[in-house]
Amino acid sequence: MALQLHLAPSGLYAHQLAHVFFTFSMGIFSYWLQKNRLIEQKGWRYIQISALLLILWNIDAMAVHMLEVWMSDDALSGTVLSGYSLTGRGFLSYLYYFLKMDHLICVPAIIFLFIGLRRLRLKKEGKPG
Amino acid sequence: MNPISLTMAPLKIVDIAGSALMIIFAFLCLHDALALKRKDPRNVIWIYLLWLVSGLFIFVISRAASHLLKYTLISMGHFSGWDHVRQVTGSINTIVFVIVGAITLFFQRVYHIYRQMAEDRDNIWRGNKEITMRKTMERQLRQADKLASLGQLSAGVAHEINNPLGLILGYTQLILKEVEDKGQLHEDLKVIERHTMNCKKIVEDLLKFSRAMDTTKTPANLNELLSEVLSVVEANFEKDKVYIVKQLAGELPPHTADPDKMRQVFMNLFMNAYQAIEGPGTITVSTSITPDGQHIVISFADTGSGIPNDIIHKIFDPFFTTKPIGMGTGLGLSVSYGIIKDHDGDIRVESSPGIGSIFRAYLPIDKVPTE
Repeated sequence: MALQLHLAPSGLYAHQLAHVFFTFSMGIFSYWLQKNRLIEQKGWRYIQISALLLILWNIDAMAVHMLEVWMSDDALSGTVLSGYSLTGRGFLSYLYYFLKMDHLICVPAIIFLFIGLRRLRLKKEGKPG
Repeated sequence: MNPISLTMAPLKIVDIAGSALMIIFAFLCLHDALALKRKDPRNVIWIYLLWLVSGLFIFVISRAASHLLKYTLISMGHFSGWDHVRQVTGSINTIVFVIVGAITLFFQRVYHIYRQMAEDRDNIWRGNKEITMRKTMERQLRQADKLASLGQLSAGVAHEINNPLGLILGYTQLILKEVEDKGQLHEDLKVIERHTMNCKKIVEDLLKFSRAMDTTKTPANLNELLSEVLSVVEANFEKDKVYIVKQLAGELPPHTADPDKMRQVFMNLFMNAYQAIEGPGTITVSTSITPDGQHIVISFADTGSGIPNDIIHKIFDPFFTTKPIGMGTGLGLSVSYGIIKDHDGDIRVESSPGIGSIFRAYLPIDKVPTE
């Protein structure tokens, strides 16, 4: 009886809290890069941009999870292969549709992370970056 | 409000393409983070970045691979399969967010440790450099003391021996004129003459060494002094296939020196280089100015046998020589050292056994123009 049950919404809450924590840590990371003037090197500047984009992505993901809870099941109909369509009303539908394309944020984030790491590596190897 | 219908095709395309790109770039990021750590395994910043990138890598693979798996499972009609997979990958993503976030929160501490380590390393390096400089100064002071003591001793001994030697040599040469050219007596007298002349040479060098304190300085053109010495030695050296390469600076700044003593130094260094070369070789002589504009550098580089590391610190010691008995007094470099020091300069050697040696004499440039 000492163990606690974890029913349906607790998984979503844990996931959302994890997003909040990730957002906060990326913000702190970005601040420290600025404070220690590491961003004067191009490699670290690109890593900071990646961290900022990850903050945006986290906000996007949290918003999508919240909208999925608010919108009724009738809003999503059809199957994947026949042309999955979104049926809805007004602003929330457009917002959900747009925010679902989160790869438009997280792909640039990982590209900037890669460019930043590559710059640091080339500088370490003494090659022009 | 009328219901709207939006096709999910663009979302599907962005999802599939985005997931594929995320996987590719995740591998590239991990590769570069590993390369950074391999390059400098003890740098805590690179270790930190590797942890961070590894966490993000797990997140990307978990999420992107599961999205691609979703379309595969749903197209095959395995809706319940996708339902199970999304629960697991969603949980993994949650845990990875927390891990990556926690790693990030350590960044400031890690960076602080890194800065502290770098500062400590610089302090140790500076300390080592100061110790090395102090040891070099002590060695030079000991050398100067040694030379000063020996100078005083040499002057006294040389004067006492010089006259008797002169008498022995003079009478030997007189007797040689009276004796027939062939015969045992003539041969014996020639041996006495040869060894007496050796002794006189040693005494002359000692006297030169002890007189190194008396210097008469006048405005001097070091390139001209070098050329005068070159004109004497060049032809003789070429007979033994030792060639001299000249790289003299066009215009040297004004310098005050004792011309005779400078010629003596140049002659000593040329002879030293020539004797170090066994067989055909090259001596490169050059003049230049140090980057700080404070000194003229005269450099003698030979392609000789080089100086072993265990004796290089002794070569400026009086009477130190590696030549057979009778072939040298071991005073040439000591005399040269004394003369250069008397001109407020310095003389240094670099050598690689089997490759050759470079002797460099540093002389200060005059601060006021000579009249």
